[in-house]
Amino acid sequence: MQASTPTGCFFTDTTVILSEILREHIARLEKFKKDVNFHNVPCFITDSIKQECDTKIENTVNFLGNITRESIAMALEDSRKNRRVPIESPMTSEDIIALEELFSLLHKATRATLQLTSPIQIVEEWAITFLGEILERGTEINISQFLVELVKKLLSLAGSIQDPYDELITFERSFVKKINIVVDASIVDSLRGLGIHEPDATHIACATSHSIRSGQRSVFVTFDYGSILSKKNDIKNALNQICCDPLYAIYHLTP
Amino acid sequence: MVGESLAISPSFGVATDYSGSALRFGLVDVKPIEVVETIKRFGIKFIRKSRTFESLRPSQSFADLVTFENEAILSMIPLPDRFEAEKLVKIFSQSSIKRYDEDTELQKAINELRSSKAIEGPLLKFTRFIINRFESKREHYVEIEAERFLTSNFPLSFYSRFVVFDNTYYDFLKILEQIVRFSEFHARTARNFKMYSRQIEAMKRSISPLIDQIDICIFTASCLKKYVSVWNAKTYEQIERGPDFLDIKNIDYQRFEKLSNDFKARLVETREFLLKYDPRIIQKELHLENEPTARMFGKLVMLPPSSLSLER
Repeated sequence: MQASTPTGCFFTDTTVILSEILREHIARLEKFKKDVNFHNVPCFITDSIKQECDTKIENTVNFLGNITRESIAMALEDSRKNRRVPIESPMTSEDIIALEELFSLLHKATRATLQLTSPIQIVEEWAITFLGEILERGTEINISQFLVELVKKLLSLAGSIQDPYDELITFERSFVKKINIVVDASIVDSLRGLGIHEPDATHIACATSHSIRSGQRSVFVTFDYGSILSKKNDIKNALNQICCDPLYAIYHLTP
Repeated sequence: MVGESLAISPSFGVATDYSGSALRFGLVDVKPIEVVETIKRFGIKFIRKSRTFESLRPSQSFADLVTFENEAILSMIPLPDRFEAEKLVKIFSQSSIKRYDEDTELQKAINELRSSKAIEGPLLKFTRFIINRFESKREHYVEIEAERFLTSNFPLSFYSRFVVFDNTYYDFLKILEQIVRFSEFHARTARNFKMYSRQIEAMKRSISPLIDQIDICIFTASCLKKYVSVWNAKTYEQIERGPDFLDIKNIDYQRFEKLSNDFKARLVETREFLLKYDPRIIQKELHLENEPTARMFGKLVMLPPSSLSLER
């Protein structure tokens, strides 16, 4: 039996766009892109999503910069002062212990408010693994060189993600096209009522508003299991809006 | 013309590598000439024709160019009362001229270009020289940005834009290389000097808009960097060697944002412009999934914005 032709369109969430830029969820996204191309399904990115992507990238870059320049640098310098070791001396495992102290303090400060994965843990793994590898190789490095190396890695990454970002968003040379949507405020309110917070409520409302106006099905595609997909049944019941993982998106457009 | 710069320094540092002017000097402001000589060998007279290039501008105009450019830049940014515009123009220009004078490598490349025979492919050789030089210093430029970040309280995203600019500048050079290689090859196979000249003129016409575009982008980057630098320097001496610390509190944030947005817009415009020449520039194979920094970034960027704060 031949499958029917999918009709409608996709609205992509920030998690999908950022995953594509940063090469996360590769298998799922490759299938999704293949479906989009094969069936020629329009795939949109709204202004609110673009804005959220920009903010998230910028905030993450700045968070990493600040933690390196302020917390890591300060902890290392303070520890050297306390141990009376010259600041220019090569780094040793004692410096890693100083960072252990720093991260343990930061953990304590954030534990009360944060979810399972703390950003501090993520940065900690990255910084300590990097320093550990340097020390294991027997390479001599002082604190200021270490900090420069960390920042260089961040800057290089921030520079290199600009190409996939531009390809996807700025110049629309990939599978998504920008779309301007006038959002129906009552839909945003309904979504808020379901416990969907901003800006997710606006993102989903764009898909719903478009669906109502065009008379076509608009599927909201996301990897956000925590805030959106966990409530997908409530959203469907209240607004007839489908939200799903990209892996299944095409099947929601097939009658 | 405002973007004519041989000495726009990346990363508030020193370099003559953003060579909008060097490229203009070497590739656009040149005219092919044919030298006809009569030589005698084994008692027989031969006519020997060789093709080379002559400059359309006097070489001393570099000083005028940088002065003109610095005047343009400083007219775009407000200055603190402690500094006189004229004196700043003089300091910035002298420092660029000094760097140019000391840059024997670049001068040698320009001279070689003038003295080489067309058969040797001097234009491509010169373009490759600029590319190799930039390639060899790319990591150093990132390092300068990193060091500058660590001696400032500006956000890291401010510095990352200059890394994007470096990458864009590299893409520009690679596109230029493609055009020069193609044009010079066709010029060399031309049957006569007239056709040869026509090919070179066609090349100049096609690379001029590229150099103009990159120059405009360099200009906006320079306005932003000089604005931050001037407002963080207390003395002329600090202007010369660069301020010790860049404090965001020393600048007018609205003005800074305007200059940042101008630079950002020009950067996007330039990247879009380059795309018309070669769509592959944004389709590089990035293997971010195997890179620990990218993996870490990927995890962080997906977290709720409220969790990315150190103030609790």
